[in-house]
Amino acid sequence: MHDERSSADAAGPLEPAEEALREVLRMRFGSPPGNTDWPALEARVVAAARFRIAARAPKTGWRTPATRWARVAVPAGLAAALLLGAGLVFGGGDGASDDAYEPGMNEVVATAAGAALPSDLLSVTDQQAFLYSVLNPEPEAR
Amino acid sequence: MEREDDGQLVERVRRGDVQAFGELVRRYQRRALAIAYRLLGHAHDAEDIVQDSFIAALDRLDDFDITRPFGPWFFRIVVNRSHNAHAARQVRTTEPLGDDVVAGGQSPSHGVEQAELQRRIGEALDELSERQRLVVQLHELDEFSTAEVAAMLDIAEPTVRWTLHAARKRLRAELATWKELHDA
Repeated sequence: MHDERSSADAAGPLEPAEEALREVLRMRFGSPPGNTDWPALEARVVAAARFRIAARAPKTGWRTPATRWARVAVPAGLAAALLLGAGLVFGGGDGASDDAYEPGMNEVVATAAGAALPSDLLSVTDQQAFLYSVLNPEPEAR
Repeated sequence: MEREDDGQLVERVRRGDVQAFGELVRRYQRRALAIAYRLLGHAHDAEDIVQDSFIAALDRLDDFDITRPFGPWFFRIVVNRSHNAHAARQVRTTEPLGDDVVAGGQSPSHGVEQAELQRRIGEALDELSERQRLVVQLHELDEFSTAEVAAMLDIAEPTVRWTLHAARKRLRAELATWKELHDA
């Protein structure tokens, strides 16, 4: 057997077998059927693989910019929603709108009532002076 | 138009190109079917194996080195899947062949003589291991090169050549004996 292997190696590339030999092998083993529908087999294989191949495709078209924007927009939206929620919870919801103007109004009324005229008289407006005179009439001379 | 090489097609398939995959199927389905048929002995089972093998190749495509030839890599998948199917179905390739086999060169008038020759050839081939028989079939009948057979069966090329050499020697002896008896 070793000699046979050596002689096969020494012979270099194998010469083609004679047709008679192939014929008996064909007789023994047969050949793949010649009526295979190759286009149909190809279509069947490609159809079975289509989804797998599509899954490999990089995302292109409108989805790419949309995805890029979504990376920024979604966290920003969430942050804004959280801030809004926190503002509603901790910002004092009861009567906040009614009281909101009060400090400014009190200041105007106090000023007009003369409780505290601005010390710098040059900065007193005509409107403040009028209100002051109405609300603080001069005592009548006796 | 210039024919794309297999490596370029594989690259395109990796990027999700279905047409490139179709081209690979067109190039290799015939030889894949021949291999699967040799191992399973049944045309429809062989077609199923061809489909399974292409899907398996697709799943492993990222492991494929595009600097190497696609054929031997893919055919090894076909061989492995055929072996698995063969083991699962307990089908022997030496079982009598089915109706879907095209028996080349058979003539009704020589039925008896050919049956005798087939018996002798069968006995000679039975002395080979299953793998050695497959080497003979793939090279002599399906015209795979010795290098291709070696790659797909994961054996050394000199082993393939020695197997072919030994099988031919034995078959020639059987043929010569049969001719002597036939001519006498």
